[in-house]
Amino acid sequence: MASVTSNQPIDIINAGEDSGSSNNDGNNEMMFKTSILQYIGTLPSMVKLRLYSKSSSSLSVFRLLPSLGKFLVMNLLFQGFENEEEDDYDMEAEITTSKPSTGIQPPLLKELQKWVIGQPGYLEFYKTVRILEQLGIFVITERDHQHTKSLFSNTADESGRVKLNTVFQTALREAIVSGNVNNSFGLLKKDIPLEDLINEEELDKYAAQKWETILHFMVGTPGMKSPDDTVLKLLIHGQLMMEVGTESNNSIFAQKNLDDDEDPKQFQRIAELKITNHGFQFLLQEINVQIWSLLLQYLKMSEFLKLDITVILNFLFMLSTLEFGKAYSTKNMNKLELFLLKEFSNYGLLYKKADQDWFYPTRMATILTSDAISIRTSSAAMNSVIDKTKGSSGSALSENKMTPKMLQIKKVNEANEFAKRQLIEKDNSANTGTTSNMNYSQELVNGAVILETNFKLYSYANSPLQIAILSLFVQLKSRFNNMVLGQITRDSIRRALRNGITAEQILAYLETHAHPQMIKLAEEQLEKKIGIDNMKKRQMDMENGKGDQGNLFKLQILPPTVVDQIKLWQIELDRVISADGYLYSDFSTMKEYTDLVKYCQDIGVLVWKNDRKKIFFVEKEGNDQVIEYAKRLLSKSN
Amino acid sequence: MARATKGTLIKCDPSIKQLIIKLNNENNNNIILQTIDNSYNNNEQESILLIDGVYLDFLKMELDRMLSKNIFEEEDEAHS
Repeated sequence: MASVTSNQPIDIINAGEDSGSSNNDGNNEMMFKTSILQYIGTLPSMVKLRLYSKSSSSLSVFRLLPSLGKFLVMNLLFQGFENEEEDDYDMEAEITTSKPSTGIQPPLLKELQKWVIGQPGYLEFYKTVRILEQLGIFVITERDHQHTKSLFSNTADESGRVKLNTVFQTALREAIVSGNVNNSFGLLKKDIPLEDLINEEELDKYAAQKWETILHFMVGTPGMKSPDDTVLKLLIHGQLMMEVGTESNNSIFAQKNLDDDEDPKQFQRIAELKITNHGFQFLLQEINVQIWSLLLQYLKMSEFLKLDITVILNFLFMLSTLEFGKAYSTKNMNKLELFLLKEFSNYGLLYKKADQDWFYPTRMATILTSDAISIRTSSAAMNSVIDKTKGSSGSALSENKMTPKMLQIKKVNEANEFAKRQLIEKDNSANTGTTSNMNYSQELVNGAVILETNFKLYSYANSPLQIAILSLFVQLKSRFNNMVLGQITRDSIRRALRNGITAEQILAYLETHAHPQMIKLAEEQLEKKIGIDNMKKRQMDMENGKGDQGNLFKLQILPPTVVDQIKLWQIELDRVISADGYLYSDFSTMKEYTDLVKYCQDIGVLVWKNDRKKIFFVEKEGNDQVIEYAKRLLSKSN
Repeated sequence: MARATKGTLIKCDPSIKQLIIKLNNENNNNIILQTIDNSYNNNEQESILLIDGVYLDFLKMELDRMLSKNIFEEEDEAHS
């Protein structure tokens, strides 16, 4: 079996790695989706082929595609065969429903392009095609070689004929129409003793408990037990947490020392782990994104350990297509898969007892490739699991119950349904300018935060996890039945900043969790502003004849005073910028100086220079190189 | 002939520079290795200092302490 070597360049844009300028849920979802697809895209083509040979993997990849990509794949899936199913999958509003010309030859890329209209459609189309080509799903032949592929050209390469990757095509077709899938979708276990049966509720509880342990550990809730060692390793490897020296007493984990010292070795570890700003960003994601970004880290780590990525990916995708609440046999699994079974149970993806030869996938596994963005945030999801009273009402989780179905066609249909619904939802929210808080009539978004101009903060949070997250940057004062009251102070923010959390992250968190009333207020103010602005503009237009139409106002959900102050506190913390290295001075000639400076700039170690005084500063790491170069220059000139 | 001096380069605004100079005077001039007049460099407002890297943490701590003196937190209104 060929395994992927670790030195191959893999560029994963981790979900939400750059501190979000736009941090709405849908955006995060998209970011994560591109990242897992990108990851697959970077795998060698052989690995991809082996991945696609499993029906479950092909189907999962298909489900992860952007909707236009799904459409195109569906369109080509039965090319050369019967074309009956196509109309059912037509979900893009901009796409007409005429049938494509079925010929012996694969269709031209240009022909496919007719499905989209206008410039945005055109761009979307070629973006999608590029993704599909990267994934190895599209095989484009008869490319016009004269067209030089340039990253900077505005027009895409329109030449060539498109065909589906045959391995992918066969596997996906099998997944959709036939039952012969070689246990790709797991082996159902029927004869389980009654006393060992587990119902869905217990599974949810189990998954929530496992996952929550990880999240709690990350925020450092006192008195919580730490997750399994492999999980900890992954958290460190993924730079979600970092090991710090024991001397840092301001660490949130310092207080942990007092709480539990029954196991000295364990406690040592806990004391050394601290959340990073990646980790904080991670906490702000919704659960689906969180799971995937952890799994991506897991894949990266496995590559490092020279494990077979294909097996892991296949296993994951298989897991994601299983039906929630059913038990599956582990009979036909190989050693690595059994190992993975144990590993993933640590994350709450599945439930398995050590002495049993069957396992239950949990909801966390079955939503992996689901299109439904039903679970809003980590804490909200956990809450609804914990809060059994809300479980039956129209809360987040129950919507998700319908997604994992073994009937594959139904599944695809559902995926399309969801995609459609999503589009509509997005349109709605785009119209009003808010993210997703439109339907606050049903029930309050859990953990909604009200932030006042006097830096007081009220949060309707009752899960310990949410409170723990807040306590990372808020000085909490009192806790009530359904809310906590806190104050944002210089100290609390500085503590967070010292822990590597950035001001932008804090603000993004507050913004996404803002109470609907705050959003409403902000909208009203915005409207007022725009109204006044329009009046002014009209006057200006009368005078000047024209005016720029750009809308200068942004929706300010958080009080600007608080926003500015938090940013100022951040700036205040790095009043001095420092760099270790060497200062070069006393150059006799300008040429000597410029030669060396240019070299330093070229290798990227120049920190600062002053041409007038002929001095510059290089990083410590690059100094040896610079000296080497300087010596060569000297010997040349002599 | 060019010369290379090991040290830590500090970029800061002029007010901080004065504080660092003050600290330097209080510590037997051990901290600052070289003050660099940067006032004519591309109209940049920042001050440049070369200091002994050993003192960096001390410097940051002291600066923090000195600047915190001028911050007044709102009183806790717990008693109501």
